[in-house]
Amino acid sequence: MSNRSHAYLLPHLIEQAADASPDADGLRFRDGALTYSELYGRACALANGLLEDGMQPGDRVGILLRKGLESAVALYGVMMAGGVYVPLDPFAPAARIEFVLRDCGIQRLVAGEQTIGTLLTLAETGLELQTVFGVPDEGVLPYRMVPWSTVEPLARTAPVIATTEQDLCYILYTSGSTGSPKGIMHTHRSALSWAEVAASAYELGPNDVVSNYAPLHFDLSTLDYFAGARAGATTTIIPEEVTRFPASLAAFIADERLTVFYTVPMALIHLAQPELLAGRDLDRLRLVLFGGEPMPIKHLRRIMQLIPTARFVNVYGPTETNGVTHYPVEAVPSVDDEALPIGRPYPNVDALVVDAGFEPVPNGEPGELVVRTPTMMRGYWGRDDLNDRAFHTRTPFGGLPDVYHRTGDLAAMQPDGTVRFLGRKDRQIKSRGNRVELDEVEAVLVNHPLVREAAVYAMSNEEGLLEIRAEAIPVQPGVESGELIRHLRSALPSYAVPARIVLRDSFPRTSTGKIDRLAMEAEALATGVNR
Amino acid sequence: MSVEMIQAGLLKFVNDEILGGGTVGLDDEVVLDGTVDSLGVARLLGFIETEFSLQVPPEDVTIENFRTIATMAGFLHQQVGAEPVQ
Repeated sequence: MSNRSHAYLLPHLIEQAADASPDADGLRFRDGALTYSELYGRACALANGLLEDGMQPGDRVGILLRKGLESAVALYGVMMAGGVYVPLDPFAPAARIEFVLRDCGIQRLVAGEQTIGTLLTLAETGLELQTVFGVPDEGVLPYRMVPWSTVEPLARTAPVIATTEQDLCYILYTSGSTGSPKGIMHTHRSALSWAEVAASAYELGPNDVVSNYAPLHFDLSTLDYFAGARAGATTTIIPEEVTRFPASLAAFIADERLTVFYTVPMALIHLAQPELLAGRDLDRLRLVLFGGEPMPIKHLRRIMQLIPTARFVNVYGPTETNGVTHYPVEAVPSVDDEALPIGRPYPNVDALVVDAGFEPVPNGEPGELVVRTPTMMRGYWGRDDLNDRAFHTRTPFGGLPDVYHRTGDLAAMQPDGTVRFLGRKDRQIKSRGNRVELDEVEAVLVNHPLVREAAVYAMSNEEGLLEIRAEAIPVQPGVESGELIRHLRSALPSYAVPARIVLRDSFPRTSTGKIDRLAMEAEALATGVNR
Repeated sequence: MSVEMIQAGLLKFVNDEILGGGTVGLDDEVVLDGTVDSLGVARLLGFIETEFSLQVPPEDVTIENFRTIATMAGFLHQQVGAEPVQ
């Protein structure tokens, strides 16, 4: 198309798809759809609206939307205007959203009717914003309101921008070890590299119908949107409530004729029941990708038996690097307690298992997994302290330095060249696919005036998934755990809130008087899940 | 067991246990609006099993049946009628 700059940027994916097949569905959601040319046109109009509003290149623009077609319009529109999209979890407490908005200096939001309640709460706290797009002006919010009806008539050609591949395209926030979330910055180059790698590794094409299971703030969504667009495929957004009901999800996969389903192990575990899948027409589903946390073998075996025509692939990679290794499951390991390998590096990825001195360890020995890949992040927004630790530079042959990302994951290289994941180096865990710092949860719990001491740990539940457990010593008798849960819910995303809090009089201690969390886990295991 | 008793039990569990002090009503679309997430659904099923001695078959755990406390109670009431507690 006409206004094409010399740079190759993420939004060019939909421009190319719109050129190649304008009338193909780029996105589907509930009863609606957007063809690639509609998606491109609407994104252009939003980009022009953002620039008219004074948005400058590199400005961060928050997306505070439930899943839907507007989310895709928003993220492409922001990038087309030279901006950086920052997806916000619409179900998160307002305090957390506010933190992110302030942390990266967001002046503009794209929001929707379903998130007006959150906007009102943010306005009450005195949060300053310049403009909110996508919401009509009802006179209740102290911001400039630009509804879609104002955006839609704007020019449907992409504005000319000076953005290059090295510039930022999005920031994804995860929880940080100091108790505040940290923003992982990706560039057009790293994101495009991942779109290219994923589209090619999984042979995505125009006939594919790719699921979008994960919300935008979860990095799984980048494969759904960008690898899907790279291939000219249709991305079908799964409504939030469908993801919560395995029976509804099973029907959705069949009814929407998905060919590629990318999800988290928990969803597959819940789906792996004959009552849900038997008798459904799943022949089109050729590929099931899963990632975010380890998949228990016994559940993988069950789901593979129930969907025998699909290929199953374990995808591994922190948000910092996108996917770096993958393991197409050829044969399910026969032993249940064996972990599923995370497989081999994708093309152009260099993965090493190193010791504390950054020297590669022998095959089979545990070490930290470090990776060098074109899909790697730029760094953490405004956190040079973390950036220093996140990267390691090696100059093995005395030439130009190679920059590796330290994943913080323990791994071992197998003799056959596949990598085995052994766990987190520190106490950062994955809960339902989301990263949680156990120390952060503990800090919030201890903050409560009625709590003297608290310990938070993670242990496997009956399904083999990590579950967050909390125990607390109250300052006085008669404290209700519901009150403490309420406190945690007000400060943490739901996936970081422990399922329950056990109140007790004392904690097991180490010889130096520290709380012995390992002993607690052992106690919990010994007394069973329902203690 | 009357449908009102089931409603009351579910309301109390969702408000006290899942939300830790919520104010959800009978007809609030707790699943569509995200009040009850996937972990919440799992906890609800556990509660239903212990409180009403009822195991909901996986194929019946659907949005249609769990949309609101009222639809849940209506569905469970039918189940209790169909399969008397042993």
